[in-house]
Amino acid sequence: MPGQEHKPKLLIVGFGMAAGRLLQEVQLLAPGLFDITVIGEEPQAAYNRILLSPLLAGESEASILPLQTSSWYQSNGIDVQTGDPVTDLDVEQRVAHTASGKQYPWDLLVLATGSRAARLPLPGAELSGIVSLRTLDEANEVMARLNNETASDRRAVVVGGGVLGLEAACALQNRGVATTVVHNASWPMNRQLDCEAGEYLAATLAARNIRFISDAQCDHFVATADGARVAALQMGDGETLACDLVIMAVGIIPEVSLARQTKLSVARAINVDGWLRSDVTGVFALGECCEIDGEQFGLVAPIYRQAQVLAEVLQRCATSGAKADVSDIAPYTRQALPTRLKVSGVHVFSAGCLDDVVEPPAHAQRSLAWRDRDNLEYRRLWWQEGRLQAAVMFGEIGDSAIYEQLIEQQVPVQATVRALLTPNALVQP
Amino acid sequence: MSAVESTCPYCGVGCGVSVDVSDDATQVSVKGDKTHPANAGRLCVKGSALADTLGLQSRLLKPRVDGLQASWDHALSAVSKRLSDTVARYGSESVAFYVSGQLLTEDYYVANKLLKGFIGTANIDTNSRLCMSTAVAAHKRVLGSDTVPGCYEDLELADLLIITGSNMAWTHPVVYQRIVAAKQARPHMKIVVIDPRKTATSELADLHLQLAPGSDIWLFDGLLAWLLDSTAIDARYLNDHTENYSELVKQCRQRDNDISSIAQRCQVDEDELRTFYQWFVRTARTVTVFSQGINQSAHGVDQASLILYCHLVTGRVGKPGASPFSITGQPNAMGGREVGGLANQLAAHMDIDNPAHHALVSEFWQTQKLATTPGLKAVDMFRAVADGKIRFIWIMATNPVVSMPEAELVRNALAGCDHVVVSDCIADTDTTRMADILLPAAAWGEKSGTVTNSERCISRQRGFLPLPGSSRPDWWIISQVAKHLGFEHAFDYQCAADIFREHAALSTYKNGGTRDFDIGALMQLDNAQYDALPPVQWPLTPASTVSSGLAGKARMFADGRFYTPSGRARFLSVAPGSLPQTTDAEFPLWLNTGRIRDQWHTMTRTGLSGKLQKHISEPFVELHPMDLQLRGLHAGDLALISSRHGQCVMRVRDQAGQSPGSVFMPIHWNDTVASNARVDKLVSAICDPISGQPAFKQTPVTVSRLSVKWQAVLVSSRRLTLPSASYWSTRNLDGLYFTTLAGEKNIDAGLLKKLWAEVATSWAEIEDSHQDSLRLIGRNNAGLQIWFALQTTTVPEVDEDWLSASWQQENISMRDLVLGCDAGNQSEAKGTLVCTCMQVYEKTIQQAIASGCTDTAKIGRKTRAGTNCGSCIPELNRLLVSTAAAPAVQCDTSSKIEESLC
Repeated sequence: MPGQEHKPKLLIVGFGMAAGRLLQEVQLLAPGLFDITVIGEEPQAAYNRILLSPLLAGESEASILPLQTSSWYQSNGIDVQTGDPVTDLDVEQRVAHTASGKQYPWDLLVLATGSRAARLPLPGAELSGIVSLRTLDEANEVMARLNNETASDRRAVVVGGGVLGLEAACALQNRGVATTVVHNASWPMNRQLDCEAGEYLAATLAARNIRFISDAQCDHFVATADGARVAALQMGDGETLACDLVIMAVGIIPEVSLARQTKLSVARAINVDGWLRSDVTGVFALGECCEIDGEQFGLVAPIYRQAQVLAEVLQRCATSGAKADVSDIAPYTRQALPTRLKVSGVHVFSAGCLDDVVEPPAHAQRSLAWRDRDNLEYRRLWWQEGRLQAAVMFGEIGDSAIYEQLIEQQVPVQATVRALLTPNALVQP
Repeated sequence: MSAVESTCPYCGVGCGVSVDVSDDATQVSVKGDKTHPANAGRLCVKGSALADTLGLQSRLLKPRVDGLQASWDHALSAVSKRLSDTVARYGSESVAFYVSGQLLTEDYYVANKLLKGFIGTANIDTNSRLCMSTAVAAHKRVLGSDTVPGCYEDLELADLLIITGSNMAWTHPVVYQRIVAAKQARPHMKIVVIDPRKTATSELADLHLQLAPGSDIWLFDGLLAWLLDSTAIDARYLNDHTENYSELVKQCRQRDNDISSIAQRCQVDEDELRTFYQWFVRTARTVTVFSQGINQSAHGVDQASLILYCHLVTGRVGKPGASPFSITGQPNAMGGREVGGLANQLAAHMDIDNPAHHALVSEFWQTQKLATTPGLKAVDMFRAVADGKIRFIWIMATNPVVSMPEAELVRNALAGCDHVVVSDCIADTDTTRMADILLPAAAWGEKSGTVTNSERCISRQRGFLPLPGSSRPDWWIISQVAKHLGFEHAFDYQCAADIFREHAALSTYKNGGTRDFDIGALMQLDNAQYDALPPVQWPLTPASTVSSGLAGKARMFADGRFYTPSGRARFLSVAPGSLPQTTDAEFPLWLNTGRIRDQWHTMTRTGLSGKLQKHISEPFVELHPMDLQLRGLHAGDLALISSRHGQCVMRVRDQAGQSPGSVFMPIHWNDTVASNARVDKLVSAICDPISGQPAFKQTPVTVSRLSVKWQAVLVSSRRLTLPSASYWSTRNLDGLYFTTLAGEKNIDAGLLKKLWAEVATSWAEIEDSHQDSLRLIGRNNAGLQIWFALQTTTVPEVDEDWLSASWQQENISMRDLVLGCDAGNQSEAKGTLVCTCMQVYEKTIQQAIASGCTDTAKIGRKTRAGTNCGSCIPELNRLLVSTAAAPAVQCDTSSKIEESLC
């Protein structure tokens, strides 16, 4: 075997799910091709952030969270650095500096710095007891707090009725915490669901004794008498929501502070092309910290696809240089982004571009809906010019993969009752 | 369990049925009576489904007077008071009875006796006027009496069987099956079908003369002319047994009836016509069966007479396998004729205008009031109601608002009549809706008496169920009214047998062989003998003794002696001519009406059987493909059919067997089951001048597309108020109502939910932003109540059997339900139900054919289709032709079909 010193150095900054997945793809595609170092800010190696809510709900074990075992990293010769965030990137010299003062040179650099939970800039937002449930540490903190005291008289407020907020709310309610969700739109998951599916979801939350406040205006947080902890959320309409735990789930902000220090082109996130290449040769980005043609990412499916593309690109660069022609590699392309709400017993699915559909539909659009209120079942499909444009399902989502496929592949589909109810006949077995 | 022998209440074949009744009378099964001479155990699909029609849900069970439930005492007083007041004020001619071939002979006898004998008017007519009065008139004119000379066996014995104006395969299936079996046994037997349509019957024909509508009279005039020049003339018979023959020849020769002009008039191929004429000449054993195609015509009596003449000039009357044979439509049309149910008859085949008969009946009934002049025949009777001349009418066991020509005039006439009394077993019919007084009559299975079938066979109908509610036999109701009117002495009957004995006694009273109808042998039957009376053909003169076994007469006139004054058959003038109406630019099509296979009359009873509702589920109009194309119509469209008298809306069917220029519509649908399908609204009340029978078979109409925005299917556990629709038609399939709708005005889910808010409390639905489709499922605490599907294109599909079976199931997927089928098991469409008895669908039969079944017997073995009543065999034959036989596969691979059917 040729000397190891000849291997190109691949440095991955950030060690979340995108980085974890990229490592897998690289090892699958080109085992031993690189000298790999991955540096993470969190104390753990990459873990499945999606399982934090089930963990909180008591439905998942912490042990299943890690994406890979530590022995996997070892046996693949990957240098794993955790709990030591990179603080500076020298793009000219191709060296990264960490908080602890270490230096890591690279031939190829991948930025996978992810995102931070957004926080509402409300007075009192810095109070203890207000968390975002973005990391395992935060989840552990919440669980520890819940385990220390009896949960039955605890009250929590979740700010934000999106996917993460609702998952967190259900998890808390599952632990016996009286939970209220405050949301600044008219129905929960309003970015993924139409109004009616939102109503079904709200009804389901209500049935689980989760209070849902729509079109909520948060005013400020109220501290306990000693000023140490959050005691309530004061609403704009005068209502005071007493609570001793607040989970902020109002979206994410791409973590691009490192990139901004460099000459890399950064808009809201790091600009990369379909092959995840930044405008600096040999520097790549993927996941929540990047954007492609203005599109940003928050769901796992497109990021996993990016990891697949990037692994191929990296392999090419290793063999043909950082400026290698990659045009024969299929780039990442915009995908329909299906969403499935993963709270046990609540099945919600959404796919396609709901931003583009309106109710009642515009001229070229058509929608068919099935609603069965007694059984809390609802689905609506939108068509445009004989092709499925978007789908929303509530209650029973067994056919969701078919709709996902039909939307993604844009095959012609007639707007029929059968398409709405039994789409399995529409796809090739 | 006990078995009761009775007779089927439907067509004029008069099949015997054997009824098994459980001891608590809750379980009834009906099968053919193997000992009955008419059917020897066979039953058609309607008869086989009799047990399905015994439920009480649609029955009239209490008398009602002016909309309020009443006691019998009150109802009978009301009837008799209104009747006697009307007579007192306007005279006896202001009173009329309109009765029915559905009545038993005993009921009929009492009705006739009361009105003609004691109220003193002959204004009693029967729905047989619409059906058999032409045959009656022709028989009486030519033979001197209303006697059917032959019997069913003659149809089997014939070497040439001519079926004219009858789709027997559907209307008289059991006799038809006897013919099919006979032809199989004797393949040289020739069958000629004369019908403007290709029908299930014509498929059996060696020769089908598809003649122009209404041209039958010319066809038989041409036959007569042909015979007169042929060797078939029986000069000796003519000399010994007929009168006026030379005049017949003279007149016949004066007419333009050579074969080529006849072929032209009838629009049939001259060679085929010649074949028919030659066969008739050559075949001594020739039977001509005629029915409504001959009878329901403006010159029906003349054309029926011509048929009789053709048989007389060849001496083929009342001989084995050689006779004319009128086959009747109703179970007791013949019994009605025997007791004088027609306005121009007296009783026991006696004539109202014959002074000797008048005196005889007056004496027998001990009355001074016996009507002296014929009363009004059906069409004139309702016209007199409309004109206010008749102010009291009592309608029994019939539905004239549906069945009379110009039916809307009949409805309006009843609406304007002072007193309308209706006796019926069904609560809601188009006619009961017009009644002031409703009297609950006993139904089949409850009532007891006799009927006479088309071959003069008197059979017992026996009751095997208790009388439900306050229902009573018709004879009891009529006798009670007679008693209230003060005629106790003449109507003091304790049971049907009392009436039958009197009827038999009258038939033989001072008869002495002068009258054909004589059943004197039966006047001495005691009640037990009456109850046990086996089927027997009249005449049964007192000479025949009951004790030595009753032997009726299978054939009449074999001796060449007729009941005319001279004892000879008479050749009276006939006048073949053009039809009273013609088609024109405004009404370019000929409307022909008739029955379908699985329904009877106005569906009040057959409509109760889910099985019978599947063969044909909607009212329809059949057109030839060319006529469809001309009008831009397609099968499945809705069409507006208009005549000078009214309009109907029906589903369009494509029928290549229809003659271009003519359309066919069934007679069964009515206002209780469809929005606008009373076909008799369209039919002109033009009658034969002698018989007074309306010409139902030829009405000029026009057909155009009814454009609708949507079509829908509603299934509900009870009948619902319907949204505004251009068309609807409903049927009850074993407790669920299946309604097909179509409309022009937009409807939405909100409107429907409001309309049905009392029935369903929660809803599941499909909403379409383009409003091209809509589905609704309504439920309440008791489960599923409403299933509704609407589309802007075709009628929504629903698997009726699956939906019925799934209706009350707990674990049924709502998405399957809303689709109306088992979506997980998307089997191919089953096609239409072909065999109603065995519930075999088109697809299964096609599969059987594809797997190597080359004839109906093989199909029967594989699928069981056609193995019960056999009335679907013509359809099986059609499928054999239309299904291109695929290479035969091994039997074992297709045994699956059998398994799935068993």
